[in-house]
Amino acid sequence: MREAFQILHIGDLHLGAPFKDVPFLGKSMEEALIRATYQSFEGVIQLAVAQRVEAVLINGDVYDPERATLEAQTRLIRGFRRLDEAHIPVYICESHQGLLDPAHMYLPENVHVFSKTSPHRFPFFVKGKEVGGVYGQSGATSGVNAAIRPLEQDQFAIAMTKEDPQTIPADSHISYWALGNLEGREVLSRDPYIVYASPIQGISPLTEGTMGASIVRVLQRRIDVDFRETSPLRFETITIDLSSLTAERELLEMIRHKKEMVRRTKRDVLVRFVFTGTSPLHELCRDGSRRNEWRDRSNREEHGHQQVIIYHMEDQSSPMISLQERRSVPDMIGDYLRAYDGIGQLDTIKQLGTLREVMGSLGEETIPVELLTDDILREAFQRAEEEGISRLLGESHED
Amino acid sequence: MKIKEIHIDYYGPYRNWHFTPVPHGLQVIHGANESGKTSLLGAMRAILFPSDTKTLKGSLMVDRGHTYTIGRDGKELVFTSSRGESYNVEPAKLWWHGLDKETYDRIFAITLDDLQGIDVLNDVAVRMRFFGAEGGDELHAMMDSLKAESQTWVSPDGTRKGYINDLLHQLTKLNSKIESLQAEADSYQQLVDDLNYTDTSEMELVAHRKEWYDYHNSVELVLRAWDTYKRSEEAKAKMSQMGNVTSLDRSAFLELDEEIKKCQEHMRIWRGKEDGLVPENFDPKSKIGLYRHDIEKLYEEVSKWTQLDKDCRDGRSYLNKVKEQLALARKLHSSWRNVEEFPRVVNWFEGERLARNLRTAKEAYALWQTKEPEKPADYVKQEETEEIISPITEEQRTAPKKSWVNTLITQILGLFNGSKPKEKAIAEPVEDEPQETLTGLKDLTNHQYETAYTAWAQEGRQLEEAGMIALKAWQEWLPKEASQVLVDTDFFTMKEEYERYMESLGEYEVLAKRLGEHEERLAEIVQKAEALWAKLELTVPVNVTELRLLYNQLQAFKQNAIRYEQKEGQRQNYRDEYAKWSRKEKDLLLQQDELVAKAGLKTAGEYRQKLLQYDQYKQWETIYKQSLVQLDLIAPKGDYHDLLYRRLQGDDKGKWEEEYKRSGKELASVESKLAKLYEKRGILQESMRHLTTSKEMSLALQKREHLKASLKEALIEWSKLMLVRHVMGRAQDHYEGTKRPETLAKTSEYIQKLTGGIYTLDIPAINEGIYLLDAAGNRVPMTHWSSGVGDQVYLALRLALAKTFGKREEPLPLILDDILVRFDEGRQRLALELLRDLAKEDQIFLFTCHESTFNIAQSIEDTNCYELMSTTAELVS
Repeated sequence: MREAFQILHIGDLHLGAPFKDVPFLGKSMEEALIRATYQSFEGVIQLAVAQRVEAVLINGDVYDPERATLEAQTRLIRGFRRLDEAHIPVYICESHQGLLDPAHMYLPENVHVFSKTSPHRFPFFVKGKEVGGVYGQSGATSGVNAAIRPLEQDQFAIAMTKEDPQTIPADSHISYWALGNLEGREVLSRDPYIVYASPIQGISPLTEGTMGASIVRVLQRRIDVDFRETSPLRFETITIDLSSLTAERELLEMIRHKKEMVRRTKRDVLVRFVFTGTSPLHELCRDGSRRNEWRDRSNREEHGHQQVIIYHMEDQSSPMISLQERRSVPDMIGDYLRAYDGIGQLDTIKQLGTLREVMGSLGEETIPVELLTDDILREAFQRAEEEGISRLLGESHED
Repeated sequence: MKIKEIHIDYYGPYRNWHFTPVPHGLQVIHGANESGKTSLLGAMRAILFPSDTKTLKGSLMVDRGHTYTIGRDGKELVFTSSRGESYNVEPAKLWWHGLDKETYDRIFAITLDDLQGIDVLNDVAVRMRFFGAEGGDELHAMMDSLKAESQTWVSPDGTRKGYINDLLHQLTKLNSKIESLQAEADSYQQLVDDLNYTDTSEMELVAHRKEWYDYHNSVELVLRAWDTYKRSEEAKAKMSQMGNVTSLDRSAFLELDEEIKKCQEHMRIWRGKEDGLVPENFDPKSKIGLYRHDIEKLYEEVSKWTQLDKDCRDGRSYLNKVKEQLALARKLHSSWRNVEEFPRVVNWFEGERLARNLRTAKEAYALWQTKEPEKPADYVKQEETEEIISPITEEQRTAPKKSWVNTLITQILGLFNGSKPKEKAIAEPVEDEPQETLTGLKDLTNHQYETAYTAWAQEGRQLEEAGMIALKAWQEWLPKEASQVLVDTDFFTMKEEYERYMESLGEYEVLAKRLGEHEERLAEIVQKAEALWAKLELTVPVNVTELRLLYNQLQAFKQNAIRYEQKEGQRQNYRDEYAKWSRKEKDLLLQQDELVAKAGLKTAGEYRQKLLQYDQYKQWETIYKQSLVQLDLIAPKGDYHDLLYRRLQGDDKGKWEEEYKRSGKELASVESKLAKLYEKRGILQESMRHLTTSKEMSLALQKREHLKASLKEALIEWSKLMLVRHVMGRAQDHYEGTKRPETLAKTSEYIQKLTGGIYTLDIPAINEGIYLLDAAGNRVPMTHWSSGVGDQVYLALRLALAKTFGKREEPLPLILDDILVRFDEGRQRLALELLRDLAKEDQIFLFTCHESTFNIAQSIEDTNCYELMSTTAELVS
């Protein structure tokens, strides 16, 4: 196969999915959030048409698995139709089966969705000539990777699955494994090519960094993967070590400086600041309302394009005392820490059981128990150590 | 803390009062009731802790290594240090970890009432503060704070006051909204189905519309072609009727025809020229010329005719006037009636004689009347009245006859004289006579009178008779045309009127006769004229004027006749020319006849008719061909061509017109349905567009994520607070388990001292209740305690708690207000000695109103005693 060609490989679209773990950051940012996945998808379509790719490979969910909104469906179909007009076929390997129901979706004929029941092959054409096949199966069924075997006549075979790539056999004879990953893109292997594509738009702090589409260039069995960012919004985490800072003014200046560094990405960026280190500023940073005040003040300074919006400020700094030393001191703090360790030193299951028991015993207030997930309890317990000490220390300091 | 000075500007009975206590040792203040002991206690409580009282101004100078002044001015705190620092925070908050006023009052500044009971041990605040971990005060405050804080996250009553409760409420509400929006979105599929259905319907309707459109157009073609086709059919029929129209020598015929017309034109010209030489309005054969002599002869009498005509008119006019005058005279006659013909002959001599007779009779009668005898005054006699009356009455019966005649005459006369008959003059004697006669009868002279009267009456009757005859003869003579009431005196008037009228009548009749003669002569002339008029066939009226006009015409005719005669030669030439052309015309007509005969026809008219028919045939033929061309244009040969011709075969154009209307209606109906369909599709598309572009769902979902994030963070924070509180509680429990016995042991020690070693506290049973142990080890329950023992136990407990507080926080001055009242003297002394011992390190103030207590206190070493003066509140050492 001497003909050079390109394909476009992307992960989850998550069209219309709301951003998770992000607070309300103003009306304009709200608008930007609900448009972000659509804008990124539009960018992908434009890129595919402009690059005249031979196929678009989507390994992931096209919608929010919880809910496919009507607007998302409409925009998806519209995008697929534009690809159809450009004679670009689309191959989809879904994580969650059923989001794309051809019976109700009026999908254009260029869209091919792999079934969940068994691996399937769709012929792959380059410049109108069949040169191979696209193999795949939706859903994370085990054994799929091993089951996929390309036809002998396939000059170029593509595979799309949701199974763990560790199960891909060394002699798969697949030219390109087009996989999808929530965390981001990654080339796992170059022989054969096993590539994780990122979602086209990060919709939670878990998906930080650049998100977009991979252009896969193929020339005489040589494969080159080029990434293009299409997401209008990017999640980033910035860590500030408070050790060298002594005053609030210095901290705010540092925040401003870090934001300017991030602004160079020429995208709107949602930033999470994490404060670490041991510092006298620990007490200030520990105050959630103070952190929100810094966040809001900083966000109010943002206007126009390439905004750097702080969506969260997290305090992981430590007080100026050694908790380990205080555990052995027979004072109020020592008593508290020892009491804390009484729970903290339990194994995970017992610890969670104790925490639930504690919450139940103290719960004069009424809230549904199921709201208190293990994560919440673990996080709360973790914060409780620092919180208790800080409160006791705060009282001591006042004296 | 030690109180260095108490200053009260005003409070209760105190005004600008101050007291400087010693820093150590028991200080006993004695005062009678209402001397101000309890007020002093209240003032010290109110200065150290905020209260509601407004009527306080005072301060405490205290020593805590540095000197501080705690002052109150009403509710306002004045808190300073000797270093010049000023504090806005309460001393309890600043120094004693938020020690509350209630606890302070129950342990450090107590009255007898405050002392009662051991429930203070169960007070959470007391437990936390006095039995808690090191720094238990802080823990207590913190746990309270944590609890209060956690309730801002989750409300105990589940209302939205809690932040998490509010978030959950918002989340529930938002979920409902999302479900509602989802339901709307789910309707999208229905809209898509509806839209697809409109496509199907549209296809069907478009097909129907095409069918009806085609049919409508084909029917329209029929209607458009109908007249053309029918015309072609008519032309075809006409052509068929005409059959084969042979071709004639049109040019030869038309040439001859033209030549003939040309000849006729020349003939007309020459005839015209000849006629042009005839004077205008001249006809040589005119009747005027024919009867010229009659006209001239009649014209000779025109003067006579004119005169007669005038005379007759004047005569008739005059006679009419005379006739009117005669009629007027008849109306004016007084003696002749206007209604009768006037008599031609009257015997005036006889009349005059009869009138004279009548006048004579009248005069005789008038004279007789004057001769009536005079009546005596007593003429009437009663006895003979009847007999006498009889002849007179008889006379009197005749008297009316005379009176009647006389009345008739008088009436006749009256008619002429214009006066009424003299009825009374005659009647009076008749009426009055009998009475006078009767009266006269009484007189002897009455007889003479009667005789005379009888003779006079006889004469009267004769005269009356003669008068009647004369009157009758007169009346008989009166002509019937005359008024019948005429009397003899009217005779001459009547005669004069008659003669004057007859004279006028005679004149009238003469004139009438003469007029008749004139009219006869005039009639003769008119008769001649009418005869002439008849000959000339004139319709104008027969009169002189017309005769004159006629005569003038005759004169003109005569002049024209002369001119006519003069042009006769020239006219002959014209007639020759006319004849020449006439001959040529005849030749041509002969040639034409030959041509006509050659064509088998009889006359040129037939030939011309044939030519006309040929032309008509050609015209029909042209119409037929043109119609076919038009029909081809209307319906070119194709699918509809044959159908069109089949439809044109019929005769019922109305049927196709109806079909045209019907198909038009059907077409409009389909168009209307299509329009409604497009409108519905527009609505559907708009609804779909709205649903697919609505940001509401996206915003709601995003908002839900915000809420979830906020809820998660809130739950973590709330759980954190709860767990911190729990861990603090565990620390507290641990410490309490080891530290509380110390306080209880101290309490037991104090009880032992206060009771002189009789009782101690049963500490192991503390969790079961409070018990004392006597020296023999017997447990004495609370119910068996005397009031004094009870007070001693409570005091011991307070002192132990205060000692514990002092050890952990800071020793605070104790203020005890008459707490020893139920102690016997021995126990009072023991209590005072214990207080004195404790006061070696701490300040203790004891207020008492009992002299004995004060005396005991004075007897104990290291005790400072003061007397509080009730009138001045002055303290005397």
